[in-house]
Amino acid sequence: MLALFVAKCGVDVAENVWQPLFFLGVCYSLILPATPFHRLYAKLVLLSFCGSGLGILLGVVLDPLNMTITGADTVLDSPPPTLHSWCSTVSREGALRRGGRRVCTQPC
Amino acid sequence: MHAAVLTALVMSIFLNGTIGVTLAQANAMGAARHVWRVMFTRWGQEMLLVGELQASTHHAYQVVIIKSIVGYYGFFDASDASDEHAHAAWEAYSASYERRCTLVMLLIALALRVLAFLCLWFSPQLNQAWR
Repeated sequence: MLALFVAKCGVDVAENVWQPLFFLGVCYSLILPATPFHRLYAKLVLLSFCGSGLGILLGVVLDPLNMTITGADTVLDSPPPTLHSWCSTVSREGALRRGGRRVCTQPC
Repeated sequence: MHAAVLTALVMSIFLNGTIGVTLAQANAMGAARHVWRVMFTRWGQEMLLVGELQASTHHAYQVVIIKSIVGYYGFFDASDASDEHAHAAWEAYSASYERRCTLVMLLIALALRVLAFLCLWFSPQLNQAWR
C-alpha cells in the first residue's frame, strides 16, 4: 500500500509540473496579466499540487469502476447536496464498502 | 488596471470555479464556512487576485480597488473599516499574503495526502468494521 501511495503521488508530480506550464504557455499571451510568468506559474503549480491531493483522496475512497454511477446516484438520489448524503453514497457504493462485501480469498 | 483585475477574476473562474462565493455568502454559510475556509481553491483565488493587484497598480491605489471592486470577494474585508484603518490593514495583509497563502496551500495539500494515505492504509480494518 505504501508503494501504491508513493506511485500515485509520483505520477501526479510530473503532471503538476507540465500541465500548468502548458496552460500558461497557451493562455498567458492571450490574457496578458500583470503578474510575471514565473510567479503565476509557481501559483498554478501550487494549485495543481493541491488539486492532485484531492484527486488522490477521491481516487482512494471511491472505486474507479463505480465512480460514474456514484456521481450520478449522488446527484439523483439526494435532494439536498449535503455532506451526509455524499458520505452515505460513498459508504454504500465506495471502494471500502464494496471491498468489505467481497469474499477475500487471498491475504489482503 | 480594472481590466487586469477582471482578467484575474475570469482566470479564477476557469481555475477555481469558486469565485461566486462572496464574503457575505461565506458568512451566511453557518458552520460550513469553516469548510470554505480550508478549501485550497479559496487560497488560490486569493493568491491570483492579490498578486495581480500588487503587480498592476500603485500601493496606495490598491485600497481603492479593494474597497470598490474586490472588497466583497472574501479575501479582504474592507467594508466596515475607515480609510486609514483599511489602508493600514491592507498594508499588513499585503506584506505577508504570499508566504501565508503558500504555507496554507502546502498544508492543505499535505493534509489531503495524509488523509488519503490513512484511508488506504486502514482500509482492511474499515472493511472489517463496516461489514
